[in-house]
Amino acid sequence: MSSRLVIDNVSVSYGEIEAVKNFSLTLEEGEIGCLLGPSGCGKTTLLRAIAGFESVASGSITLKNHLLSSASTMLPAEKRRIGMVFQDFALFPHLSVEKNILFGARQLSGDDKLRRLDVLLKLVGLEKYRKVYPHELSGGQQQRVALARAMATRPDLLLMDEPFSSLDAGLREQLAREVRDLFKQHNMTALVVTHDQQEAFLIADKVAVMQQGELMQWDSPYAVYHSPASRFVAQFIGQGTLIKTTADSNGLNKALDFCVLPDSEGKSQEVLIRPDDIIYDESSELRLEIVDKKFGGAETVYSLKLPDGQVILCAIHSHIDKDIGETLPVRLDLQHRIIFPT
Amino acid sequence: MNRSVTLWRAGLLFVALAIVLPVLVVMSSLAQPFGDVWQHLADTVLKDYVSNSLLLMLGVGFGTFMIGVSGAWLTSMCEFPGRRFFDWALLLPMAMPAYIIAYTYTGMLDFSGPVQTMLRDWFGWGYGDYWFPEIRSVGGAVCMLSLVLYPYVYLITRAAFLEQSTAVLEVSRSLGNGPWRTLCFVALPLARPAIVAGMSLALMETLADYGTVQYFGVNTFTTGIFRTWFGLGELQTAAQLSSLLLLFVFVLIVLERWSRLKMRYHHTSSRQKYLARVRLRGVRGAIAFAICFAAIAFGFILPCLQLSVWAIETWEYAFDGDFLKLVLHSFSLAVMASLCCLVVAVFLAYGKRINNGGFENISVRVSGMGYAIPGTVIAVGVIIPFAWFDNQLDAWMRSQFDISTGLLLSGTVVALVFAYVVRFLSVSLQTVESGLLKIKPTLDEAARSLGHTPAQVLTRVHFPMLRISMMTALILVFVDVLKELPATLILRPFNYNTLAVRAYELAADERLAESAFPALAIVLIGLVPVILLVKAMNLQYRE
Repeated sequence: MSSRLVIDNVSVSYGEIEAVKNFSLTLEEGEIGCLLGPSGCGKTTLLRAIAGFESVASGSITLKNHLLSSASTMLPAEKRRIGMVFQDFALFPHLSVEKNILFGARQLSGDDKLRRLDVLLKLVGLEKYRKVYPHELSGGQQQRVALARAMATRPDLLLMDEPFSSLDAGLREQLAREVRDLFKQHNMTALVVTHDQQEAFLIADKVAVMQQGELMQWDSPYAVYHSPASRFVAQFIGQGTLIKTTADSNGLNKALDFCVLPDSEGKSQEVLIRPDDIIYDESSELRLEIVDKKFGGAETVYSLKLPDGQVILCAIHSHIDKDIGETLPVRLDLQHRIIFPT
Repeated sequence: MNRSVTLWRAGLLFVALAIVLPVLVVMSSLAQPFGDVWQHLADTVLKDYVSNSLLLMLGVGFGTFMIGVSGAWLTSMCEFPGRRFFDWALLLPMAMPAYIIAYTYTGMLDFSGPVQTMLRDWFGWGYGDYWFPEIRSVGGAVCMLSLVLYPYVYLITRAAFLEQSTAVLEVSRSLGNGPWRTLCFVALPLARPAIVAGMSLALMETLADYGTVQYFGVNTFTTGIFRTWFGLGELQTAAQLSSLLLLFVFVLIVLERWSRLKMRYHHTSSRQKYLARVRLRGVRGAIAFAICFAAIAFGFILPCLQLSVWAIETWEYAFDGDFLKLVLHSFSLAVMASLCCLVVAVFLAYGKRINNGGFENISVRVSGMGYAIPGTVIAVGVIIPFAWFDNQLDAWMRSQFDISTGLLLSGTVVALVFAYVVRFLSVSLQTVESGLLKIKPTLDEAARSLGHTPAQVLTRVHFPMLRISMMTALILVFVDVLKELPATLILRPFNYNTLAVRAYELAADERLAESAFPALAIVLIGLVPVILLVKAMNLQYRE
């Protein structure tokens, strides 16, 4: 029996407002999915609907072939066998670490409980803290306790709502990696909500990009970056600029006259140019004026002006140090042609 | 609408209506005809009531401001010998009910008291040779009330000073203002809403005071209400006087609410670290010490010493079976009232948590306004509807079954406990609400996702987390009930004495020394909430 999560055509509304619209996706057993989108796009609402804290207006949510939610069904949260890690961790302040972790594992016998506690504490590296209370822990440690607590009941699915947002940047990356390894080791099925794409790329097998309650794309991190299905995804994921252009009969573009696009005669269209599509080349004839630069340590991102005035970004090795107003010799190396007709 | 929401709303509405009932009854008396007695009052004493009440408010306002603000400034911004002690000790006079300090000072300062006797011994004066201030006067009442009410101003102002962002004060310093200019032009203006809030609380207590002004023979609304009712037997006119007093109170409520709203805007950016305190050395340190010490000495230590001396002298008479009965009465009343308050407060707080809408907010707000209503007014507002109910029931029973039920509610403990709930519900409500606020909704959800039903969430998460708040709510109301005087005097069953009533009656009979024993008991019990407050304060501003 697989622990597939199937979300079928689900809508969730708050009164008049439809927070999630006709949303469908399937998460296979052992997969880590991620709901990614700007704030207010409905990702947390969807997560709460799966957990059983919001009811759905239409559609259905099934887990392991059991119906959890539909317009007429609402299995209580406590019966869903779904673990959840909250944005604020929601640790019980009146209970020690071990009591927090074992809070949900009530049906276990004493010995089993202790054994599971030991395993979990070791898993999250908090063996020394079992008697400690939540307020004495650092943010990262609280996060680990929350994770251990959610895993203690061996849920069929684990949900995480912005799990790393309250941690500082370095710790965030480290924890995201650890959590992914942990999930993979235990073949956990998990769905993570985040607004941070780096986090999503680090942790997820598949990313669902959401906008205004709708699913825009459900794909691997590589695919959402390199073959975005829509303008919104193209602009939301990664850096990049959409360049408006029209090709002449030779396939040469007005804006990008250095680039031949297939099958594009006479059409006006938009081309996605990522900073890594523009390569520094001393020998290139093409020299573009630098209008802005951002030094970022290993790389510098230059804003370059095309002949027709549109601006593209170019990320290159920071040893190549030019000033604003100078020109940069570059060539286009478009590995993935992302073109949207206008 | 959901059925459970409707049920909660009905419950909230019922509680809110019950709490405002006394106020509505009193206010409705304004629509009744003003009788001859009213004309008589207007011609004779009404002017005194108004002018004395205003004088008292003016005096107590000034007194509590001076003591409260200077204490708050010294303990929060300066460093001087004894500062850590004064931090909490300045709250001690809160434990001293005004009527008790009033008759203690009367005993100390009258002709045969220790102070005048000592003066005569030292200077060889005789009767009539010297002038000595009369404590039984408006001025005396102002002093007594200021001495025990300044902690309201102190507490809120100190918190405001401590919460002021270091940055704002440092900016003022860096712009060339010394500590005193910083106080006057930055810190005080920023703390103004807090000071006003504290003073309005102190003034509400001033208006509500009955014991002190009655004992000092100062005619105010509260004594007037008593006299009109018990002396002239005019309940109607007493209610009309009460509604006049309520007008004063409403002004204060509005003032307090308004300044609390303001406090939010005057809240500067969050405080990162504590500003280095101004170190007061030498004479300046001694003056700071003297100011703080005087407040505690006059407001707490001296009266306590005097009460102890009297209690030791008289304990053999005082401590008998009667005393135990007083304690039993007081305690059982206090336990009943605090339990009722807690149950109602928990009900209200959950009603608001489950469905936090405009209706719930208003009902809860209304239910918590009793703290501002003087006990005398509440008593009048309780006795009228209860007596009406008793009479209706009695008449009906007699006409139907020929049985007289007599007075079922009025004149019984039920009426008294109801009055206590009206007056003190806000105390337990605030405590329970702030406790409940700490239980974030995600905790409920976390417990649900870990396989707990809503009922199990209540027993495994909420009750353990609320335990301390609920205990605190019980204790606070318990002590307030024990100290309460005017409502108890009016509503108690015939010959049903409590510690407070006994202490007051003995003092009124000029048996000051004998009253010391129950009075001291009240003061000691009154220390409990002060200790709780000090503990909470230390947690909040641990340095």
